[in-house]
Amino acid sequence: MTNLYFFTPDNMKELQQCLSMADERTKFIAGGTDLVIKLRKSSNEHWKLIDLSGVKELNYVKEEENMVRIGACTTFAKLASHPVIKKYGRCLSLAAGEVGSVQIRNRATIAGNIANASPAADSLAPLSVLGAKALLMDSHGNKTVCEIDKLISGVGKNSLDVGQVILEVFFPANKDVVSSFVKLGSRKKVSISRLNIAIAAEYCSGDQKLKNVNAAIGAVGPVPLNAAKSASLIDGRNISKEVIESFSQSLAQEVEEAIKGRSSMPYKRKAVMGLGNDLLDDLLSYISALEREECYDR
Amino acid sequence: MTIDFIVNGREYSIDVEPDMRLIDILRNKLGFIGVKEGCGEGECGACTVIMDGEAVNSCLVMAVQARGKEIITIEGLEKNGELDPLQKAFMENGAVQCGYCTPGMIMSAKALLLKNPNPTEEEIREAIAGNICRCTGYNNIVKAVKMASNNLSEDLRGYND
Repeated sequence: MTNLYFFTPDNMKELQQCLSMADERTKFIAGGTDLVIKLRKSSNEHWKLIDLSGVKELNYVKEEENMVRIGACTTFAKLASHPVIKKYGRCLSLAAGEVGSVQIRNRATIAGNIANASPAADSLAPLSVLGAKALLMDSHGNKTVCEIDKLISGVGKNSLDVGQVILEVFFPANKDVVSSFVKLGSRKKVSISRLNIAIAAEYCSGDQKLKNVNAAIGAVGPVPLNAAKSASLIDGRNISKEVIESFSQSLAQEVEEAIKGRSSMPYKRKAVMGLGNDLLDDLLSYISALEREECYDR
Repeated sequence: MTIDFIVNGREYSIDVEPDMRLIDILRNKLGFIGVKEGCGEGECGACTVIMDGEAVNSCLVMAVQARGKEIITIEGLEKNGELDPLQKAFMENGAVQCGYCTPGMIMSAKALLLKNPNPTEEEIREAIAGNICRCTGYNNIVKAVKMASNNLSEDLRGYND
């Protein structure tokens, strides 16, 4: 077990003071679902832990000025059930609901999932397709905005500076955006992603076409793979059987190119095709449910 | 450092070392040994307790993080010498074999019933997905939770009448 110093800020002002004392040994803890395990495996290290879980100002989901804003310490349980996330970031809410178990979702946080930088992190592909960014604060209190992908510098590594913390994750609140997420693990529940895909697009009920399609594949590298080629095959088209087929084929190609030479490639190349089918199936049934609802509203 | 918190309805103010987890203080400092440690990595759920109304793995919460929280362990379910309906249902349905997973399993089920007194089978299975049992095959556990929820609904009906 490590030698530990614990800092327990209860509000933003106290957090700021803690940040100004941060050094290379400083780590942040929120839900602790990854960090506590790491902590117990490391020995003879001196860690200074700043506990973010007591900072109440970091726990919120809100819609504000056409943005969905999520406080750093928002748990996956909250993301999975929050109406604002369901409305504007359905893929994120689906992903959040499949993270670990109830116990894990009650503790694990969105910023922790990003900073922990696991390639299998379930929130990364959804955040990528929703065009999410992070609001950071450094030890002097300066705030900057950063793309989520840029925060991840390698497997298990983030690019946050010493004393720099994620305050918020935000993405546009666009009511025309429909999205979905599917994941493949080694069992049905409580499983770690071997592969996941998120998709988001603007849907106009008038011409029944998807526009500005973004697709991202998770768990094939440190950051999600932007499946731009596959996404372009759906953009502006009616989603026929043939289009779904070509989308899945293209995903397989993109995965193959991304992880060429890796032992998992033959499996993932095949698996992503089935996952691509499931993804579009889910998205289309969601869209038809939406349309039924709209008819009903009228 | 000293933390104040509530366990099973009683207030405690205790000294904790920075490297202690919630499970360590519950078992070793306060003697709530119904909280079991299985994997120590949040996979098995044997250490599940209820913290501020939510099921959590007490092996993944640092003791310091429990400051100001209200914790319920399996020991807190019995009221006035009477077992909780869930505990009774587990016994009646053969939902206990070796018993190691039982406290965690019951606390996950309790957290569910506190929020949702009448869950579907699917909701029950989701609630206990983070609790591993190697003996029962889960069916009797699901039956027990269902029975407890039915008894609970009947009690409520009786109360309303």
